Amino acid sequence: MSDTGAVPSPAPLSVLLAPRILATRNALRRRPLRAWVLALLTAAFWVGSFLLFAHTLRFFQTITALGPVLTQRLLVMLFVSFFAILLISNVVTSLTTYYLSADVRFLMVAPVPRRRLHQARQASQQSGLSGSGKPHDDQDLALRHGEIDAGQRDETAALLHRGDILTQWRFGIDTMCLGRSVNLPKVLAA
Amino acid sequence: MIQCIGLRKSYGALVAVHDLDLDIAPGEVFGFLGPNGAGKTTTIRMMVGLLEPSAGQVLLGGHDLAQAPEAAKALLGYVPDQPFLYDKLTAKEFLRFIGGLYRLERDDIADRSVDLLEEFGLVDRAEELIETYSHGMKQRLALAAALIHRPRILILDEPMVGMDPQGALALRQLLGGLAASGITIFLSTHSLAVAEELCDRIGILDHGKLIAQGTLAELRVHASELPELASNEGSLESVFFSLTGTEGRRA
Repeated sequence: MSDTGAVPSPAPLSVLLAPRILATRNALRRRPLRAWVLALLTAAFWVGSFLLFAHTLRFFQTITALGPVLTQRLLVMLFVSFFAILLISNVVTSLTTYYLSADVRFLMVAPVPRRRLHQARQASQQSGLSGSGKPHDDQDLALRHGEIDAGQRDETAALLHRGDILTQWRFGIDTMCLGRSVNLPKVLAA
Repeated sequence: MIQCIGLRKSYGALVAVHDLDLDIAPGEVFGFLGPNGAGKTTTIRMMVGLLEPSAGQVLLGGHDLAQAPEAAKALLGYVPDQPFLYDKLTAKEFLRFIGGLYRLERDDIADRSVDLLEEFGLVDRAEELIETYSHGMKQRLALAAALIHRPRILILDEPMVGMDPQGALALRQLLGGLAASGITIFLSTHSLAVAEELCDRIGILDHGKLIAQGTLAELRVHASELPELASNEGSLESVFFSLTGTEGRRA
């Protein structure tokens, strides 16, 4: 390649992401116990969060007049807090991923266009390979918090997503699916 | 092969590199010397595309680094003073990754990796994580990575730092061999003995200005014109101290 002086085509994203993927694979292979412990702790965290929310919301439902209002206000506060935390952490993560990563200088010496390098960084951040990437859904969720302020209980609950879809199911709250309101228990019962 | 034309880097009022002009021929070993803070690393960072010059041009193999960075960088192998390696990869994986960056064929990467790992004495530990390597081993691996795509230009910034005498000797021999094979080498070093032994031409940078460049004989002539060089012994060391005035400043 260098001998002929021909310009190589830019390295594909898969090559640029390889170090992170390989590093993760090596860590899993060489320290399987640690990987299992981390997986269990993560699972315990999500299960614990679900149980805590389920308990709290179930308790609120028992308060006839105040229940729905309490549920709504709690979720509003939670979402706004999460939004603020995510916003700050994403700004910090973006800065470190794009500008402060130890390998940025190293990669910029290679014949990789800056645009491709940027794409690789974005991909690794979103996939969580950079360690603290955040999924888009969280941002969308928070950006839609105007709907939460509207005070519609079902819409508020519909903003719950991913693992929290179980909460919606548990309490028979409508879920937003492809822009439509769907009541999971009713759909499954039918 | 390497051309710097009016290269300048300034940070506000501070000018780190003053209008530097360099022209290094193919196959030449060029030594880049200067006291600490002279601007060597800044110059090198501009030459490899890590730092945008305030003015001037860098041409690598005839490709303008600003206009055609990929074409210019494809010719380049670079080993910084503190090389970066992915600690959680093995040496083989790291070389495969570098080969991929330069779009080498898979078979070619495998062959080159084996050859380079053997040449640099890393073949026995090729499957171990880089984090377990010593400083010298890491430097050898960084050099192997810089060579995997058969660069036509090799830029080394203080490659001997932290190397044991055996490693330094092996590196000198390797650089001699690479130069003989026609690779253009730009070597920034504090080791005057290495520069004297290996370099065809030497440039001396002081306060961001190229105060002298040429063969050792030419530098001696240049230095002998200075009045304070009455005690010139003819070595590069005495020439260097005379030109930069470092000895006087240190005293």
